[in-house]
Amino acid sequence: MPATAQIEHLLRRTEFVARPNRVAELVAKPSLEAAVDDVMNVWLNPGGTATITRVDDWGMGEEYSYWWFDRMAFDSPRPMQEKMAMFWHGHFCTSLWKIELFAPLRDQIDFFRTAGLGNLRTLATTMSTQPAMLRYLDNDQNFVTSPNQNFGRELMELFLLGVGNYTEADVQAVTAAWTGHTDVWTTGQYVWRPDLHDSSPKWFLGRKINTDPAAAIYHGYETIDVMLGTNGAASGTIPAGAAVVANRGRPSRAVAAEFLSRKLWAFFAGTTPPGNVIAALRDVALANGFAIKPWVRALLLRPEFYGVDVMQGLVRSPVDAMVAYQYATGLRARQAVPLWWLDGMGQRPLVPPDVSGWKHNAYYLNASAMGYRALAARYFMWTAMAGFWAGDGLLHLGAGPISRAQVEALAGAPEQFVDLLLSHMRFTPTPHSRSVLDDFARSTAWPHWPNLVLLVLMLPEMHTA
Amino acid sequence: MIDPDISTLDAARLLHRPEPIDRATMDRRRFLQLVGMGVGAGLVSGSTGTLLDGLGFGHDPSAWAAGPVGPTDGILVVLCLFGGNDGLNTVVPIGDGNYYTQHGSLAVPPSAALPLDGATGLHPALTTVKQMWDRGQVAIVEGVGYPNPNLSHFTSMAYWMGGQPHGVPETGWIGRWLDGYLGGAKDIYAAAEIGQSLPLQLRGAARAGTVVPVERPDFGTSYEPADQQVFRSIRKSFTTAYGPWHTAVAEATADFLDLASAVAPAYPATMPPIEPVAKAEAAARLINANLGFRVLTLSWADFDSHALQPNMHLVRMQELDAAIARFYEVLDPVWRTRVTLTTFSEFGRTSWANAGSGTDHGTSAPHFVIGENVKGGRYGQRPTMAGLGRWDRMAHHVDFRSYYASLIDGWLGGGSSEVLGGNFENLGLFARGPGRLPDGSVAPGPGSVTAPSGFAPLPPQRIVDTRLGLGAEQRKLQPGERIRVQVAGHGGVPASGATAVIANVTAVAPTEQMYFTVYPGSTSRPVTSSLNGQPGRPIPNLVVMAIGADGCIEVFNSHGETHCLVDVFGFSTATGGDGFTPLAPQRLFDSRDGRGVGAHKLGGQQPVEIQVSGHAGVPASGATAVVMNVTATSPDSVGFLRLTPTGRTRAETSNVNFFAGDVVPNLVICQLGDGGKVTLDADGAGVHVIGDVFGYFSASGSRLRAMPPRRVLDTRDGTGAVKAPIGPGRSITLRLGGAHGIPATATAVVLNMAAAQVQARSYVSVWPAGEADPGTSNLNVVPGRVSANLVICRLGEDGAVTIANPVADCHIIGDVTGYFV
Repeated sequence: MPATAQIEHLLRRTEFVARPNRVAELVAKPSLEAAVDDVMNVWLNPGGTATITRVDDWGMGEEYSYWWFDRMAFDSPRPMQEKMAMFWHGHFCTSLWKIELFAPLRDQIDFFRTAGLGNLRTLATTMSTQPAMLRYLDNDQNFVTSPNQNFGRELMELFLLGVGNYTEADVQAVTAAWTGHTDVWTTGQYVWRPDLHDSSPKWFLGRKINTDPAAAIYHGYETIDVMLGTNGAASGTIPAGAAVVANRGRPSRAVAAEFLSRKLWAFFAGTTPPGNVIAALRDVALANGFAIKPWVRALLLRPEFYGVDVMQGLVRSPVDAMVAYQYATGLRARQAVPLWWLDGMGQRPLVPPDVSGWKHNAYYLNASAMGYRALAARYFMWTAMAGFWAGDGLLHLGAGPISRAQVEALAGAPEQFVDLLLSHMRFTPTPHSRSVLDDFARSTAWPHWPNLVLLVLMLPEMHTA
Repeated sequence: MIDPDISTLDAARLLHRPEPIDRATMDRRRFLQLVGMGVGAGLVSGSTGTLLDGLGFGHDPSAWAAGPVGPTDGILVVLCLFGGNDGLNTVVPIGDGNYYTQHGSLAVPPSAALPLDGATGLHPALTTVKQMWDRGQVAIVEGVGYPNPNLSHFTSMAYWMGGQPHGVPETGWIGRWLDGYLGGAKDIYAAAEIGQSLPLQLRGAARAGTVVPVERPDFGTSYEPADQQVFRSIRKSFTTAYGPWHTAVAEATADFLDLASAVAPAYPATMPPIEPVAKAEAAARLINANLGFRVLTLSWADFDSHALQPNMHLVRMQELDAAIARFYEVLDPVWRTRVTLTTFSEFGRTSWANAGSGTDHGTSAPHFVIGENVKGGRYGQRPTMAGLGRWDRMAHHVDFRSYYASLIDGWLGGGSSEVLGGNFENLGLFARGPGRLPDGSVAPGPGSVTAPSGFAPLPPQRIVDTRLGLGAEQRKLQPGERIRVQVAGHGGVPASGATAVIANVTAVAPTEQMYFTVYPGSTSRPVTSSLNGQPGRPIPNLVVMAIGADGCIEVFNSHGETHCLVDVFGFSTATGGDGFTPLAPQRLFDSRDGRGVGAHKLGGQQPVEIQVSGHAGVPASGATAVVMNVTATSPDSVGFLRLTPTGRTRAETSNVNFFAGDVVPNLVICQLGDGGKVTLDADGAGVHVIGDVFGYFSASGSRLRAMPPRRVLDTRDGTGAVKAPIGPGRSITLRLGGAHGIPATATAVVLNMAAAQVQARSYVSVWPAGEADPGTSNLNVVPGRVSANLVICRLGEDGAVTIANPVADCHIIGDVTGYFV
């Protein structure tokens, strides 16, 4: 049977928080492998999509965000689904700000939610022609008459290979292959314009592409297949002119597998990945034709993933922290998640800061960003205790309410109140933090004890995963 | 031709939604207003190593090692005009017929422009800029842009903020300057955006600037005891036991509490309603507070005048001018030679007006560099409009990197080639460096913290007596008058090497209620007090004061006329001297009950010896001097108290002066004489004496860092505590370590305490927070009087001291003049 500490760690990284019922379920599994398989047992298109009532694009985006937060915190039977969708949303980045239309963005995120554990090739080819991406990286303005390299460059630099593993000639080749995939400006509807496509043959990563005018619509896909060596294509080769000297002459598919392995490791583990781990994950990706499930499964089963450095190696992103707040207080996103403060914290769903997506750890740690987490914590506390003094007389928390009479009855037993509170917040602090909470309860009168909700939400371990 | 605005949607690459508004629509203008304010909240890179370097709770003490802002440090305030400002209608080419042809009805007529010269006028709303131009304080840099201009707001803004005209910048030019300025150290008070999230320009590779709000911060600033308890508990959750990121989270949280409480006192309750004016006022107030900020950035929109430009641009120009005017209204004049304002925008606009009474995205534009030490005039080159077609754009003649290099090298201490990745021309925009006056001397500045110093006692010696013309003119100080007291080289203080002076300052027979402000020479006078005097009486008070760069301290008299005495008891020096060991306050002697001294009044200058070494926490050997609050009580007549190291000749100076019936304290730093004793004598018919020990000097211990006086507590206006008098049952816990520029590692503080609006006779005690009331006193308060006394107190739990007044209400004011580390 897997160790409780391992399961809690696994759940914090894959399901946002370590729900006690899930811990109990997984600890009872015969092996860690069985526990990981359970976490990844996400079925096709689970949960559908958000019901949208607003009509303005920004408002619809807010509604979707609320719905998505609640999926992560409460409603998804396998929150790994939403975790993977967040990974791809931060990887194949698009933003409502630039797109200005909600529908294409929803299509894309719902696709990530459905196919997030599918296959990298499917993800890459599909997202490339989704209007969200066409618009976000300007491929909708990429025409034979006026090439726009924005998408082609990022497809290699940020999405599949990593910076420095190609030459400017490769950028031009990819850009040509993707010309003609555009959209209708007013509706965001995808349009294929063969008349705006550049069908002249190109050399790309050592392979000749763009050669079949009859298959011009697939020329873009072909660039992905060359990079990944998928769909029957022979893998490309990192050119001699590439900036990353060590990769020159290597198959591009191996370089891509390593690039994505690093990103996955950073996302789930947070630490600098050991070289042998990346090599092993690369081999899993290549052996399975870039299927994501076995790839991530292998990551979650690496012994290094359960080392102390990894267990202590990740700061909860703002989204993860708000999900943890929600789980502790039981508050739905519409009640308490302050979307506008997420900007100040540094991460707001649907609105990544730039095409390179969100970063990790230090990216979120500075005085003002933590200030917004504190403002949010206070707002959660106020919402949780909105009726405590004049109203229902309850402190609403994740495992159910605590009544004012219960609190008052424990007035002489501060430690017992802390026990009660923590069980209702479904949170186990470190011994150090526990002593801080006890000290607070002991040194204040019971009417001040609801402040402990804020203190628990601001504990450092609430903000590390 | 594709409408350039399509490319403006390139955008969200960079920018961020700043305010909690539920928008019904996301039209373009709104979009621009929202995105103009900043980017993400985080630090881009920052490996574990750099982030965790020098992890200390609260501030990194090294951040303050040089004091906040030095006398020749320049401060830059960067105004971002988001949306692409129409430079042609800002700095108007009034002599250019092409401008009037192409800009058409949008053009500013020569008669309306504020003329600078025959070819140049300012937009009519820029009256403040015009006045400053007339004083030679405005540099106009024309034709600023970059090669291969991009017409997208966001891409072009990323280039400008990044300080690199290509690629996807990950760091900004100010952030990279900050990396160098801080050398990897952490300082949350070095550079900040006034707004809600961090703009790219403030992100460095190792460090990033801070975000401070436009309004007074809310969370973390309350002085209500219940809230303070919450904040203390948040701080206590800090531990290094659970790995680097757990530690870093707790540290960032503590930083936030520090930042909020540090900036909140700088803000008024309400700000002007116009965004850029409020932001400019916030910038001025943050500079006045001298927290250490070297760069402040602020941004507002919308300058993107595609349509209906005349009114829109007029309002933007009115805002710009009002912001600059308000900035200088609020800025303490002492900072004028140290502050430069500068503008930028992602591009200018087309020379041709469009069909909708607007202009489209252009390229180069003029920008302002404004300040007292700016060398006014026109720089760069005005781009020609001759032969430009509808979609042609003006050339640029000054690379924005050259513009930045001129600011970095001319005002921020240099390093432009590292920051900008190459050498760019310095346009020479400054007449002189920061803090310099036209004659080359350094203008009186805010002063800085002295190096850690040891205490060197001196035989008491009077260096100023205005009754005799000693050290100053032989006449009373007038209201509002100050005297400059040369300390270095006088009264036994060495001519060089002394960092602070320890002296009794006395107001003799003031004609009105008054106060002295004593402060370091060549610094600006702070809003603090050092001594509160009553008509007709001699009032002494001890000061521990940093000596200015000119070797002087200043004594300022607030009201009425008074004579002034200065008696030197010692000095501090960075080389050698004794260290201080603060103690829990403890009563050493009390003639009323016979503790440590005979149980009878003193008088007639009959000496009594007090054994100090081995008592009240002072060790039996090794102590060289004692810090003691001495109180005279129940005097039968007018008189004075005097302390002398046992075995030495009695000084001609006194420590405490009293009238019959007074209760008067004064802090004393007295060398220990033979047998570790001091000798006490009193002039007059008879007086009881009480002595409370607060610490001692010896070869080891903490060293003094004297600083320009800084007000940290005023219960009359809510500074540092709840805005309410203190009295029975209402003590104050004042956090000093880790705040107000005092590092968390400080062991003790030097604090001048004053009491006002006293309801009844009482006494005020100060002791380390978290400890029991020691039963000592620091300040004896009397209705109708404002009284003051110096306090040197050990810092207790959370770097705080407790201040209590057990009998009747009074207000308390506290000014820090130094600390021990």
